[in-house]
Amino acid sequence: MRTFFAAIVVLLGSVYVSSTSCNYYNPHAQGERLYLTHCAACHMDDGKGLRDLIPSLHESAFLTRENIHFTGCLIRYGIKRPDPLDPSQEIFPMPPLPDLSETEISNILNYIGNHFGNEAGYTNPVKLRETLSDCPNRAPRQY
Amino acid sequence: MIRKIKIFILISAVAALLGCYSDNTGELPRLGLPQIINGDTIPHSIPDFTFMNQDSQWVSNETFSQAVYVADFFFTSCPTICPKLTRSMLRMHDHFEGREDVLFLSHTIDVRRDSIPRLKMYAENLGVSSDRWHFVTGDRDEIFDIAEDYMSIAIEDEDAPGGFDHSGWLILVDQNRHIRSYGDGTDDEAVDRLIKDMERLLRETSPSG
Repeated sequence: MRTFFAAIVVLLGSVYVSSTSCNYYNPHAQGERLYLTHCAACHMDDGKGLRDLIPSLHESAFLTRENIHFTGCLIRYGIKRPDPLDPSQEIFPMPPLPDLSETEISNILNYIGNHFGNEAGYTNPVKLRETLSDCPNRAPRQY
Repeated sequence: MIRKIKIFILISAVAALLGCYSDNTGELPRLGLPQIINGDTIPHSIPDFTFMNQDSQWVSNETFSQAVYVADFFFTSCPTICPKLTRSMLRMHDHFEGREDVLFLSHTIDVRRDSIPRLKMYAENLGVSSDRWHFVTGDRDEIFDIAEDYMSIAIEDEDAPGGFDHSGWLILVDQNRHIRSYGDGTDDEAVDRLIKDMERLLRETSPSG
């Protein structure tokens, strides 16, 4: 009888372990880590941003299959927002991240493009390199 | 035997509850380095200040004489911790919606770039107004100095991201200028604790409300 109970306990234990480790597979682990390091300070861990100051990434109207590669331009070169009161100054810009590689930017794009309710498909470093070589917002700037 | 254990558990539970109860009704401490004047210990208090807010109104200690307030230090182009601090301030602001005796005070430490109109735009983008949340600017050194009185750090540092180095404390101050609690504005759980402390302070200062 005792052996029987021990067997049941072992069985339940192994089911529990497999349910927590085997069934969970995060295809965007790298992208998530990079997002939390480089993006979450402003867009927040949950991607919700900050009211009208920092855009939410949830169900983004911008982050679509057509735009996923171009979004890499925004990550690398940032978004300028001229101050309406003094156009020589910028106001609440998105800072550029010039040190991230194409692979890292791809990982971030594939994470945010398929999280937060987005279905923007996938990019890859080769395709991204091509897009990044011709960004409309390319001019590097001082932040 | 089982009956004894049950009684023991019951007594422990009551004792634990009583412990919580007494802990919650005691006064919050008065934080900071106290001064000793003529043998009396005077708790640390926020000194006189006058700054200008996003609506070009003067803001001073008098503004907060009927309210408890939360203070922080930030700047609008800050690429590091400020958005999280602001989000935590916003969470507290929304939590105490409708209470005129709970105010918020955010000092910019980038007085050169954060003009009044820019602070105004920042507040409008957050959907908050100076009825409850003051975004203030003023003399740079006065702001850096008063940061120390709020047990915070604000210094110019060209090597820091955005040009300034500063701490991310949210500081809770009572009607008598005493610091009663503080929390790390980038830590959601610390902010939850701070909200509880604010509720406790409000019970202490206005038992009916």
